[in-house]
Amino acid sequence: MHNRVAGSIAVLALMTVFSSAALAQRGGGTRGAAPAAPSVPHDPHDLTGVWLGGGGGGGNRNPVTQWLRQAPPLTAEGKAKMDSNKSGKGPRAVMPALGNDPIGDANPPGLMRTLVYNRPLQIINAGDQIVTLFEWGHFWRSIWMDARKVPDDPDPRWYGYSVGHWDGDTLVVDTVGLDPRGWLDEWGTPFSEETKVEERWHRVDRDTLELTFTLTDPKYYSKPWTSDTRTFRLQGKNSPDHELLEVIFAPLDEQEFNRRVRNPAAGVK
Amino acid sequence: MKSTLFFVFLVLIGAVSLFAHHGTGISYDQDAWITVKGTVTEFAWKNPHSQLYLDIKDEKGETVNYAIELNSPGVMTRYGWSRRTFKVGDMIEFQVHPSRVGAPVGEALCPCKVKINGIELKSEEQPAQQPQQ
Repeated sequence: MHNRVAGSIAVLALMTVFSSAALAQRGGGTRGAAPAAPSVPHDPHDLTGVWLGGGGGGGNRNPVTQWLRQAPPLTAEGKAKMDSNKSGKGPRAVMPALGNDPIGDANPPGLMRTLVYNRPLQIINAGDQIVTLFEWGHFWRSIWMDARKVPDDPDPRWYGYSVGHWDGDTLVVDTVGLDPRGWLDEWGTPFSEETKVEERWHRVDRDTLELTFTLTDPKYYSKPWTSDTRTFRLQGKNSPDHELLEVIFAPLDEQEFNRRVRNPAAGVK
Repeated sequence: MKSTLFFVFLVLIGAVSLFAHHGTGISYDQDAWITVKGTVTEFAWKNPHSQLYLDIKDEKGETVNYAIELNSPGVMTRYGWSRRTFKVGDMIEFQVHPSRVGAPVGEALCPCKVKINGIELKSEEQPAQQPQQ
């Protein structure tokens, strides 16, 4: 009996500690999120579920990139490339019809830009790979978990070539081969064909997944830089975002939208 | 085109401050809301953004087709809207941000203020995180 009481007290104490830690982790990191509930058991190596980003990275008031509160260390060549990317959003925004955003012509947003955009993604464990389905654009990416190496000379891919492993409870993903015609974010932040990205995904509690990445791109950045932490929330059955929708940007629709809305709104015939 | 007063049914109702980095809206005057009134000619429930087309009267009494850029079907679905929310022939009053160049185009991203045949349309869902569209 004595042991049971002592055990109960220990469990309660642990729950209090972990609940406080969870609350502290969430403090200020998400906007519009429901109040934090006590953490419930979960397998930290199983990221299965539908997740919605919105906290942390992605700040609307950052000076240069949505990924970072500070300016990233652009080289002169990187700065020139950034200046040539004309986005309809962010601190350098131009009217979309006068810009050169690739997705304005229904091109894929690519991996990094998709990760900073606030649309649901679904993570699925599939044996030797972890698959992520992205609602935005109806694309997916595979993270190979079978101890293979990333290719030395990868073909360019909008969603890159990714290999992952577990470092404790953190999923570490190395990605190469990202097609540099994509942007890092909505604001036209560039990356070159030399880019290597190391993502670190950590499931803080059952409902909270955090992402940071370190980007190495000596052509456009004078040194590697690490993103702010981006927070994703697990979407339960009752969430309107629990079910991924078909969000395809068909050129047929995009061209019609440009002709009838985007161009005339900016005075472009 | 002299100004947005070109449209007799456009009523300037006030100024609203939004994020300077707001969405795709830089083609529109994000500091102004106007109300457009007219009859639905087409509702395009499509990506990248849905569009509602209205016939309205200009100051000369001539009919002009006005385009309203709405949010994507995915976002609007989560507000409880559907491809059947508007029908051809519906009488609409819609608050929009007007085009900066005075074109007959406006923007209204959810949550929206709109009446259909005199009845205010409710936005049922309020997503926790609204995409920056």
